Amino acid sequence: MLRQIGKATYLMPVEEGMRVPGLIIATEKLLKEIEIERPLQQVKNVASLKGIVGYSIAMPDIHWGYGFPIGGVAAMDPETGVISPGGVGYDINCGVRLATLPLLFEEIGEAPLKELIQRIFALVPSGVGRGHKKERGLSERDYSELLSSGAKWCIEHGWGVPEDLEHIESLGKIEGADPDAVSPTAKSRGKDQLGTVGSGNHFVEIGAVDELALADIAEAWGIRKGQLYLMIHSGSRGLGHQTCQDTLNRFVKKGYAEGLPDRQLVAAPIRSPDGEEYFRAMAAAANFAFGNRQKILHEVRVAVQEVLRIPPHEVRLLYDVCHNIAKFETHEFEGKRRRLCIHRKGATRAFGKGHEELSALFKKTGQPVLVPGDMGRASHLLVGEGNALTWCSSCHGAGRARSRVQSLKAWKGRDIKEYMESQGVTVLASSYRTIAEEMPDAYKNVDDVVLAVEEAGLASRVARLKPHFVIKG
Amino acid sequence: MGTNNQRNLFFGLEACAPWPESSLQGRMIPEESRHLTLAFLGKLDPKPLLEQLPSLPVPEPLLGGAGVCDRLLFLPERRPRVVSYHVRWLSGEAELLSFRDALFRWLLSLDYRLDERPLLSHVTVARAPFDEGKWKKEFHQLPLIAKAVHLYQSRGELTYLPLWSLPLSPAFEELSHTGEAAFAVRGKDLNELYLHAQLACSFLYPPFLDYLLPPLENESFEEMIIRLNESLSRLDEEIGSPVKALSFHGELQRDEKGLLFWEMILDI
Repeated sequence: MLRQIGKATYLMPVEEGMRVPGLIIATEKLLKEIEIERPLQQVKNVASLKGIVGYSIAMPDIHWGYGFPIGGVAAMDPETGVISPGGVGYDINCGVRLATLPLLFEEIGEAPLKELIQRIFALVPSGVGRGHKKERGLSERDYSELLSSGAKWCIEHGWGVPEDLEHIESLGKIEGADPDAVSPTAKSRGKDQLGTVGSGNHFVEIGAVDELALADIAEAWGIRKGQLYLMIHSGSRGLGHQTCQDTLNRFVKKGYAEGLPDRQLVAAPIRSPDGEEYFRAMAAAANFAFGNRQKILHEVRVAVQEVLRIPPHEVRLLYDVCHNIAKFETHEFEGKRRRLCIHRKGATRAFGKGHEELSALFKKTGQPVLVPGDMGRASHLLVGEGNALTWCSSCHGAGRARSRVQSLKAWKGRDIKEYMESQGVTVLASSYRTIAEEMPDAYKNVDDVVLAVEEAGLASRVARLKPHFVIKG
Repeated sequence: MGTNNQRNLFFGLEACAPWPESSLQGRMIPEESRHLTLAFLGKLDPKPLLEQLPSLPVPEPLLGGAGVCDRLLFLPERRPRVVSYHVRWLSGEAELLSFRDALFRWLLSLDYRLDERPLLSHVTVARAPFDEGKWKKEFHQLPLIAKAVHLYQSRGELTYLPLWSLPLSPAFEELSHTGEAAFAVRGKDLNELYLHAQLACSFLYPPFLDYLLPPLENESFEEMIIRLNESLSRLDEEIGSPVKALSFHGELQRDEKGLLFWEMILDI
């Protein structure tokens, strides 16, 4: 039974098997609307993991995952706690980046933007199995450098500008990565996938800033009403999936799942050779994902230069966030500063102003929190409030309201591209099924999710973004 | 028997497959009407048969078979009037034939007249006119499961109305999962469950049919999941796959009919 303890904040008291209580961020409206039983069971299951401190946390975009719920956050004591690949997800460092163009939507009009999205569609492979087949795949040496240094390696290869790094979470690199901890199979799956979108809910989107909420922060970040933006959602592709899978297999074979309420929660002690090896591999996969989004942005900049004659450095990266990750962070807990291993699965870091890990600009304002919604209605740009209850975490999206199967059935036989055009959104995709599965009504209204985040004090709205052109995987 | 009550009747197996969106020529049979004919009865008044059906011997457990639509058939061969998918059963074929035999014996014992030719497992999807070449060009293999036995009434206009139904436990059924994709998978033993799990993956992505694995030997449930993932990895690496991995979520259970049951969640 949930008990409200604050605005949009509910407590799930400790029950049998739980080491800590659950904390659910949601409005009453969301709790009524979403299918909550299974994800709450998963919140409870996560609360049973060794070394968990504080709460087993659910964000307002929570939905049924496997192991952790999607929209789950958990902090583990590094000395007594465990690290769980299921608490990170298969798509390690799946994340979002937002860049802005120095133009207003109304200044440029639809025709050049249609040409731009077509050019991006041609340059950035998207969809099932789409890799850079014509390019040389990543060599062992490339991998060694990319997996160690993330986005920086891409910038050194001309795929970006040095200023980009300060606009990426953790400067585009998770420390402690070891390329040798990533299996040859994982490397083989990822070798031609750097700079590719993938399938599922991944996308590249062009839209315009629809409304401003915090004008001072928007100004500090260079955001104007009507301004064109580019949003990229992708992750570590086959390399990350295989890294997660390799670890799950190893952990299950070694018996780490015994006694857990769900085998997918399988976890090894953080301070164990197995736990440390997973962290090294996960960090390497996370660095691949940073590089992947960096290369996609590079291709987008190439397209912008070709079509709109805007030089690459004027397509300014505002921020890049991870939403499937485990990281060591320092937080205040029980009156002490403690180093903790924070699992965020379908959740975004939301450091507030003054946080020591942020670069100068964001130290003044708090970090940007990127919340993509669905491809029809809106996305949001928020600023982190550094909420201690959630280990400075916020939501990562709208969260699905309807399963892929239901959405596919609902739209079967209908001209979905034409429908989206009628809503003012041009959609390009290599698969009809993906578009049908990702139709706007398959998602909760992101405005409701963001309202919960704001009421609970996790992050505040800076701008609402309206998509106009979308490439789906 | 009044002439007015006569209907075109037959027993058929409801066939479910990820049928491609119909861009092909031909008068397409609606997906919900696609079936595999088990016994054709011809024009009859359905009422007496419906009254007799409670005495039809029904085998247990009623696990529906699963197979692959492996080639196209244009029937009849000389002057084809229909386009059909041939079904190669991978599970449940012996049970299906045994049920059909029992159904025939029962119908013959009640003096119904039947066409007793051997069963040609096929599902008709379109009627003439059609372009054979175009169908052949666009053909690819599809997985298929049987969901129920129905006494159908042919209504013309390419539709068939079930008058009586015997539901089968499906080899798998897609569950409503708000994050990824999920299936309830069933099997009489672990090997059959393993096969059905693979066919379920191929429902989402038919090219997976080219990656079906040989049967398990002495592997455990966990090892089965690992093998399935190895196959998905190979598929993704070689041709790409929307299904990226298969989670360890879910316990192996027995359902109320004694069948093995697993809630399988896939990462998309």
